[in-house]
Amino acid sequence: MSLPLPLRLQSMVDELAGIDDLTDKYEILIELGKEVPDISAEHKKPECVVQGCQSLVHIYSTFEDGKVIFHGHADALIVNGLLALLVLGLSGLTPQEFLAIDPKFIETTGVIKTLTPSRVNGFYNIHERMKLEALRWIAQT
Amino acid sequence: MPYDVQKIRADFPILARQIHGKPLIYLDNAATTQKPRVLIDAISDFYSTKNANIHRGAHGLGGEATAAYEQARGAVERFIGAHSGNELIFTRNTTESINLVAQAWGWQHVKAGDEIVLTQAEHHANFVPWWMLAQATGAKLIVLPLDSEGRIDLDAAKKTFNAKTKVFAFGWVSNVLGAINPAKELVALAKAHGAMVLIDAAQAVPHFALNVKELGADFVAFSAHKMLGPTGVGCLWGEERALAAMNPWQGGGSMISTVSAENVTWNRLPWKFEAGTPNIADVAAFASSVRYLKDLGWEALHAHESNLVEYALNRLAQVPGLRLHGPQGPKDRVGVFSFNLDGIDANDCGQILDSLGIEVRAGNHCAQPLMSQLGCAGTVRASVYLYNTQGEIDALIEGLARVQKMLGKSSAKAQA
Repeated sequence: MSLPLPLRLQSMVDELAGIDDLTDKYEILIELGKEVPDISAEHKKPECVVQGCQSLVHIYSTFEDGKVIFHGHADALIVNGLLALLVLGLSGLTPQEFLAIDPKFIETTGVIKTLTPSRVNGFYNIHERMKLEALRWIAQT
Repeated sequence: MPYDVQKIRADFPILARQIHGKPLIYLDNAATTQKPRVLIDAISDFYSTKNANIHRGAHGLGGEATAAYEQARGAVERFIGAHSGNELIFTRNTTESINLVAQAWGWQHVKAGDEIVLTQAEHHANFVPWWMLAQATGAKLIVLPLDSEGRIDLDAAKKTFNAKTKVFAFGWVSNVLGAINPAKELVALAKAHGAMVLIDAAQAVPHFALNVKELGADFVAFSAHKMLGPTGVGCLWGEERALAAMNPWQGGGSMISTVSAENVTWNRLPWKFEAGTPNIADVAAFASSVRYLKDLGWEALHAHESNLVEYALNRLAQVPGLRLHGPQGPKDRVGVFSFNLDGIDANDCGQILDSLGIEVRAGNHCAQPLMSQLGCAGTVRASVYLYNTQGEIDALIEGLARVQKMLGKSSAKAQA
């Protein structure tokens, strides 16, 4: 069973779900993407690339006070918006808390059903990569 | 009679629908065209009144179904200038037509050291089957370059063809760029060296008259669904002597004459290449799409498409930061417009246009070798057909302005 979504993520999901017009929904998603701090050039390295995404996506994480902080960037702005939901919404949790949250929350936003299959896979591939990061921190502590 | 586009649109029920709460503007015709009411009714009519398996001679209903299927073959043959009754094979799509030739003809004739010539513009359907054949036989794959407008470079072709050229396979019209290649001239150049020539005509047949006898190629492949027909029906025209000399491709029912443990003999053309129960209803109904195009007439269709092409080129040229790939002018091109907007991901652009009800294609268009020449991972492609209007081009241009507002550099965050 999935844990309840963290407040920030829940509010982003609610905001998207509350918009009927698809173009407006994308607009909000793109705006969310702008809230993700860009990552420095040193982290835009092959080891941080998320495989299986149509656009170039980088993800890495840091570990502070037992919590995982995710950092990332996608070249395509809609993908960067999807990444924002994950990176902004799921940072600051323990690795175990992160692993207990089901990424299917994306389905309630109403965004996913209009995306191309490769972009939907891209979203889940970013999440998979984040899972690996969380597991790595568990192994190291 | 003047071309009444609104009257034509009324023949296509889907054009009246909305998508994401907005009127549907369908600009993805190079992927597949919409279907006229006559086709939809013909499919329904077949299943309502004629459905039976064909070529079995079992009963009256089977006879009617067989007649409908074979009449469709005749209609398509006449439509492309073939008359023999033995030269048109029904397949699933253009891809299967090309695979049929690459495997059935290719295995018989291509050997190590031979050269298979393709072009940089090929759809994967006309690239991968030949790549596989080259890998399996040890033949050499040669890819012809394109000129600055995306047409096959004739000088390079002249220099490339030689006695070792066994196969030349090329797309008549690029599915990405809309550029029309000088097919007859190219066929003649390759034929002068004795090569087998296959033309991928999937993007050509919907737009202008095809006369296979005048072209001089050995094989011509195309799909019904790109010319108002149903999906799941492909066509392969082959020169009768070439088809007769070819071994069958797939084995099964219908394609045989006699079967025993000791020996199998083949059915005659064209059934030798149609193993198993074919897509009977869709093939039979396809005749109504062909009739629709014939009744409309090439002249009227050309005039309408030429107007749209000229109008779209003018409007697209006014969009700041838009880079149009392929032919910049209206000459020797069809209404396929591939472009990128400065600093904007092609898929992002396609997604926003979709949200506005404008259906275009974004991506590599099954033409990765061409994308590498264009220097991008993908493009946005808008493609028009006989039911599109200038108003829809205007909507595309307005949509692109919205895309730029949402995704353009001015709206992007300051990059750290």
